[in-house]
Amino acid sequence: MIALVDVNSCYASVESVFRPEIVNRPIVVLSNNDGAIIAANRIAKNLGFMTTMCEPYFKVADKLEAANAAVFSSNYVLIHDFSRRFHHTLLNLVPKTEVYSVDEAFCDLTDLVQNFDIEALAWKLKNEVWRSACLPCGVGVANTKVLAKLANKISKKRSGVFVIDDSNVKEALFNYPCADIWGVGRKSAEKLKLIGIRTAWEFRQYKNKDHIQKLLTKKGVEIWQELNGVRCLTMMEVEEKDMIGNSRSYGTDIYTKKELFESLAEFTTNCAMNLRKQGSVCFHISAFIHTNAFKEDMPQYYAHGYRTFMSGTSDSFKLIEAAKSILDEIYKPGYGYKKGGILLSEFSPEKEAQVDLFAEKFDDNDKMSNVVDLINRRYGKNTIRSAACGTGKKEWTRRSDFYSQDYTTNWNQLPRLKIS
Amino acid sequence: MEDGIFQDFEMVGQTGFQSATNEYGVERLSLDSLFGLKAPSIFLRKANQNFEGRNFKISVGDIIVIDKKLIKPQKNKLYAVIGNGDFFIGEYGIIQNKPYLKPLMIPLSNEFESDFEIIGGIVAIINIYSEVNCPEEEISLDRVFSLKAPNIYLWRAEGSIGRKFQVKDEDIVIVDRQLYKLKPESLYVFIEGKDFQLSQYSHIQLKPFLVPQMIPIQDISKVEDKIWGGIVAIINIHSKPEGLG
Repeated sequence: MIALVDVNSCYASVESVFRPEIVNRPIVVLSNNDGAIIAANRIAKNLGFMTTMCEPYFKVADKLEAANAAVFSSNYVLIHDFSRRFHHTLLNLVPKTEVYSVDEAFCDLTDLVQNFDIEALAWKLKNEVWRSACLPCGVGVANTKVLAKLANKISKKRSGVFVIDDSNVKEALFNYPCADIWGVGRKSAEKLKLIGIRTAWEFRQYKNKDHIQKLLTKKGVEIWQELNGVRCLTMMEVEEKDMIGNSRSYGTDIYTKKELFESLAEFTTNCAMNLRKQGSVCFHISAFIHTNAFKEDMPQYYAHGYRTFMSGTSDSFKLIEAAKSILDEIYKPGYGYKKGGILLSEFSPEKEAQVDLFAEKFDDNDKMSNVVDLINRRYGKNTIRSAACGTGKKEWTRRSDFYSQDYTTNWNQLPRLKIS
Repeated sequence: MEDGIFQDFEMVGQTGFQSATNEYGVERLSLDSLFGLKAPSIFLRKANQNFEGRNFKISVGDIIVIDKKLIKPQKNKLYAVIGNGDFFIGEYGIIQNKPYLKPLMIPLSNEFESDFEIIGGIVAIINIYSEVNCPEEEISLDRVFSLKAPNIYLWRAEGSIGRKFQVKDEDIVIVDRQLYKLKPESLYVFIEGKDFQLSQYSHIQLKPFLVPQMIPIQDISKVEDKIWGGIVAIINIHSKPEGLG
């Protein structure tokens, strides 16, 4: 059996952990630069907020205020810490756990079903996540990943736990729309509708495998088999990334090359750190910058460039130098730049990386980069970094007027316990 | 809990939807780093008897963080001394022009006549309120308090001195979310309206209450619903480490 554990309204739930007074109020969380609503709790959704993904905030700001809603900028630092607590809790209970996303995990219960009642086990997962990570979650359990996903959706409309087995599979699937099945989506659902399949139960009962293959390709057949209880999607392991990127929309439009370079240097530093973390070197770096496409009355410009390395590198300083030479090539004055980004690719394991035989000297600052990583791990991100990233106030950093606190990762922002 | 799991397992990525969140992940807070436990001047001492002074209280099993560099005495600060083969702590004060450590009135003198020698200043006293696995030779506070475990949280005390619990403004409080079942004399983080308050399960005239809020405990489960977590330890800061604002 597989359990899919999914945090309820994760971003909103995290914000209420240390704010008990907002638990019964509408809560919405905004995207980068506070542009759009990207998450809302059940109360906010019931009031009609976030009916569409990425609803522009400015359009509903007054309504949110009237509804006494709590509004937050995305606090990725806080969410990351709670996500880590969520996954650690599950991993501690079920060693075969697949981290699917920030707020979702598949737990393979196969080894545990011999000794435990499956529903009791599902409740245990739910309660432990609440008691450790302070997060409410739904738990769906079934034979396959697709059914577990479906069970999870049903669990949220019920008590928070739902197990699909032979006795209730028809009840669970009977009215479940095809478009809501994991991996099907709206377009595939329309194709299924053409052959008279509207619900998950009808899809499961369909007997013509070849027809499904034609209609929805091999992926569709896998989903169909999973609905029939045949396990096709296995538990996956996190693979090493073959590309590492970092990009942001700027809080304000950038007009100067100096500021653009500072931003690209910072993105490069972040990418290089992640590259070293996975023990790889890269042979390719690309950078892009572009203006705000929504400001149609302003001149528009999009450009990107790349550099390749004869010897693989993970040296922040070498990569920043390459980013600078790309910027020198693609930058045009007179434009208001809204977004920039860096992408590293063509990886090789650090220990196996070939060096350039014709290079005059092998000049990577590997040791220095590793020491910088060590210092930043111990004393906090950006304690030490390249001066190219800038030292003064950065106007381009993302706007976050409703940022909460880094309650769990900053000594000076810990939650307050009143004593008397 | 198996601490090794938490050290090894960091969120390096997900198999499904990749979130920007991972780009912002920062290291967990570390008491070892805060107190610089790897520095040669810092050492830990476990209390083997109960002892109380004007602004400190130690029970058997509590942990004292000492810095050998802090040997220049300052009035009202706490120091550790050795003498006559024993270890003592006390508050530095001067009476009739002679230095002493209160409350034991241990004489300290620079005239080579004292048997006691200051070996360091007290950075913090960690009063332990719940069972922790603390072997004698342990030198990592992060491990003693399972700081990487998902159920452990750090808080800052706020308010006037709570004499009863030996906690003062800005002290650090270690809280375990899993410890919400009420046990007599234990300390809790209690949710009251928009605030979190320090509470203790106590008996007054044989009746159970949460004090100092004076909440009668009739229906235990209803009270437990308002318990955020149980207090494992309170770190009384006596000499503020760098990084602690």
